[in-house]
Amino acid sequence: MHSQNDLNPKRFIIIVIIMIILFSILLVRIYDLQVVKYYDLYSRSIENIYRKIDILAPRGKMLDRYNRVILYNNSSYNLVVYPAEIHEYPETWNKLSQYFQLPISELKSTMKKNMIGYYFPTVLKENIDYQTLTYLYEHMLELQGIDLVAKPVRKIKEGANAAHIIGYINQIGKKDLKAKKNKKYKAGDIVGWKGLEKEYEDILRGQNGIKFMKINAIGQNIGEEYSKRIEPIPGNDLILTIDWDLQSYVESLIEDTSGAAIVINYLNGEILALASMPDFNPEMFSTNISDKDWRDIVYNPKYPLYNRAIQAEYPPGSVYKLVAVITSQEDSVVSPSNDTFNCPGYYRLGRRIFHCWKSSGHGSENMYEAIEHSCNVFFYKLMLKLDFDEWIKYSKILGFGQLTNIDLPDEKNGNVPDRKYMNKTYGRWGKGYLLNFVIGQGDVLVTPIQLAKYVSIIASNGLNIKPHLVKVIYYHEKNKLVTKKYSKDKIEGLSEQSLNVVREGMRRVMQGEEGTARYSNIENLDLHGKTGTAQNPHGKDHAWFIGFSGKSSFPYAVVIFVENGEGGSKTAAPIAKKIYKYYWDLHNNEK
Amino acid sequence: MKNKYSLIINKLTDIDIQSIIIIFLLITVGLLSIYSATIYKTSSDSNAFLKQMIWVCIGMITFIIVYSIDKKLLLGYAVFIYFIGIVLIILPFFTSGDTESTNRWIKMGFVQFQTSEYMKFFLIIILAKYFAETNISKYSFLYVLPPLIISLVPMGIVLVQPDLGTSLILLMIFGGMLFASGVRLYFIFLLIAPIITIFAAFNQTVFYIWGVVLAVVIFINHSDLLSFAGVFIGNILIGIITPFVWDKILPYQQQRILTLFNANLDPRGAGYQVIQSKIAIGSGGLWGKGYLNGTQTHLQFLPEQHTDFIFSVISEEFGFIVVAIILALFFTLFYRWYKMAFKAADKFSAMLIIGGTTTLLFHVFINIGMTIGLLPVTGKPLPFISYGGSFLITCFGLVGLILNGNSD
Repeated sequence: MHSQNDLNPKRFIIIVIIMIILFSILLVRIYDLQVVKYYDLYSRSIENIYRKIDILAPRGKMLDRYNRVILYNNSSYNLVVYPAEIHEYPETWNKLSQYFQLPISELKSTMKKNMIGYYFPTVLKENIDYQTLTYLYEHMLELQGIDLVAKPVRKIKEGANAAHIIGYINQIGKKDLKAKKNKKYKAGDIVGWKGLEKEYEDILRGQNGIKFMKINAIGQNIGEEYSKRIEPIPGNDLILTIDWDLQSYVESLIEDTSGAAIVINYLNGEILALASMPDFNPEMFSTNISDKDWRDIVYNPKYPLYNRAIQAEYPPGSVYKLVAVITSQEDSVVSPSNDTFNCPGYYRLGRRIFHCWKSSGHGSENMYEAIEHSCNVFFYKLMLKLDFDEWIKYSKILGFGQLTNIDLPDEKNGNVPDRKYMNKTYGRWGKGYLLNFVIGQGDVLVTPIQLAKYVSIIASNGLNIKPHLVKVIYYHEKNKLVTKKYSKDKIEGLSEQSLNVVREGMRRVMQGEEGTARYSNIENLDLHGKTGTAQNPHGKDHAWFIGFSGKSSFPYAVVIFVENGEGGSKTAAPIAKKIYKYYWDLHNNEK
Repeated sequence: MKNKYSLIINKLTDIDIQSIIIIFLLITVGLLSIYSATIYKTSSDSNAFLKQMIWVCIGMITFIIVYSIDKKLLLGYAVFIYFIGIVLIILPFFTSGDTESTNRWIKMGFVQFQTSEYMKFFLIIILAKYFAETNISKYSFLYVLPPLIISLVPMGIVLVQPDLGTSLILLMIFGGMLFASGVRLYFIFLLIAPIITIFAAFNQTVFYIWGVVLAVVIFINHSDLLSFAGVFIGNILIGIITPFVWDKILPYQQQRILTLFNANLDPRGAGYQVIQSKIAIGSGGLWGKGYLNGTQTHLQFLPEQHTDFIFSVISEEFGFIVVAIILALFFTLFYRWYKMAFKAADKFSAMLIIGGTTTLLFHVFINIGMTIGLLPVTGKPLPFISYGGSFLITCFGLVGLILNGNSD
């Protein structure tokens, strides 16, 4: 042809060099994959032969103190699909669409929404009913690409909700997932959100097992490889200190109020009943809770999710006067029977007048009488004789302003107004504040569980008990029962003598002729008590009652709190009476 | 007439036997792997093995036709068929109704054509014609301009289809032929410079360093200050404008461009494919898992295993040794052909061979590079081995062109 070939051979050499470089890059990389990284990649290819499916570990049960199962698991079923597999069987979509009377597009968009990966089981329908379940099982062979997966649901024994003891479980939240990354949680896992379910999450949870399903060339399951199976480890069981009968009764008593009730063994801190109202049904959360139910709970103005027994911080009212009694005795300020103060019905401090609840006054009275009558003026006068710092010290020794460390999450501190707090809050402050504090009003805030500890210390003659709900843990794997140990050593700095004075005062409240709770007394139970009424600027006053039985065979203390209950002796003490009566009868019948 | 037939027969007996043997070795490997890759497949490609056999036959006929065409004819119609090619790659924009899918295919009855396949031929032929016939001096930059424009038009159209892979192949055809034709290396540098400038513009430090390199290279090669300044300032301007343009375009457009270069950003999961491909290749080891025993292959972790990811199938079942042999076969083939080009009787023939060989070379590099995770997933098949009629015919056609160039 016309033009001659004038290509420069030097260019040929360069072309060959470029080719060598290109091929070397490929060859080195392939060598790296096939020879250097062989073992790693080979084992990953082996993993690909199996489809790993979680076998859910059953969550631990809860039993009451008499080993009655109060919380257990029940299965509910989810319909899942394998996107990779169902892709090959469009017929399955038609059948599902026919059965559920839903357009295919809707089913597919549900799958897309829930899909984690092409080869992972994806939830299509939750909590399918029994009829559907049998239908799907019967037609399993025609419905390639689907599976039925059991999902545990919590069930509670009839009688009580125990909502604020048990708490509830639900899918792990995003924040929690981040925090618990190291504990092998993954999205969609169920965790305890409140109550014992949260507090004992690690013990109740168990460990999921893994099922290795072999898959054939077109991605269908062809059976399990049993040799590889990792069995789930069931969660451990909790044996509680709760008496389910008592719990049910206590819940029924305060059902219609807002408030809390606690029954505790004051010698060892075991809680026999703990109720907070309004409550909720914990079962609702472990199934798919409906939007309406959820709104009813979350937006209820009375906050059913709020555990008043450990989170309600309110002024304790006259119940708190006993702190001043102890302070006065420890520091030998007054003699309980010989020193008297006069109550004309009011007390004037500077230009301010502080009233007694009884406007006609109690007259001259000693300390026992003052406790019995719950006289305010006596305590105003007593407070002025006390060292404020000492009063703060004994408030703290008796457990106020700090957590009781009950085995429930999210407990609140309450408040003891010490000097630091007063300076910070009020700057300049005078004795007038202290007169309010001594009768348990103003900035003194306590929780019902703190009062349970307080009354226990008094009743047990100074035992530093720890209120608790879990008695024994049953470890499935080791088949071992482990009794939890709780400290109950004597509190230093509390003399028997001063506690005797308090107890005598409390005895008179119940058993004395003028005791504020005398109508709530029960013969033969040696009941002691103290009522309290917390002034509430926003509405009706809150009612308190603390009490215990002095009978050594019946060492139980009670704390009652009724929001807007008006008066401790009017609303709170009668509830305590019913509880004592019920439990005493139950106690004796069992014997 | 008799004379003409005997000419063709003469030409056929003259054929380079070694090339044909190597190609048939590669096709055999391909057929075996396609069989393995589709043996359990339930979808429409279940009879891919048989179909591929038929495509091989059609391919051989294509080869004979292209091989037998008189080169003078090619030279004569080069411009005409180039424009036919341009029309063909624009057509899919109008025929495919679905805006979501890419505009690469023309449907004719039940057969689909990827028209950009044939553009490779037409570009090779017209460029070969240019390099053979041009009177412009190699030492002038004007020498570069006509082939640059000829190449940029189809490249641009293919890029918006969008098909980065084919666009790159067209660029390689142009680059390879330009380089082999003996153009000054400095001109090639000038062509590449703006592209590097665009990428460098996204990082200030890199941009400064590049600016210095640019200045030095241009200064050494330019005698007069004016053209030096022109070229340099032009490049810098491109670099300054780039970030502004990038910020001005809409996020989905940015995403589209980024996906073009990095398929891992593709939500449909090309990243997943590459991981599975690497597992398949690596798990083959030195000797492979054995024919029909590749678990990755048979469990279909690679959705495109008989087409784009066929190399993973081979690597998993046959192992490194066989893979190295296949690479060696490709290398030998391309080496032979480039050598032929430099020994060809005339420049047109030589340039045909260069163009054809370069096309196949970069297909091999881009495809294998993709399966081993070195290059983005562009969906370029492996010559002679991947399943697919369109592309197999292209390959046979290119071999026809190459060996035709080699014949007298």
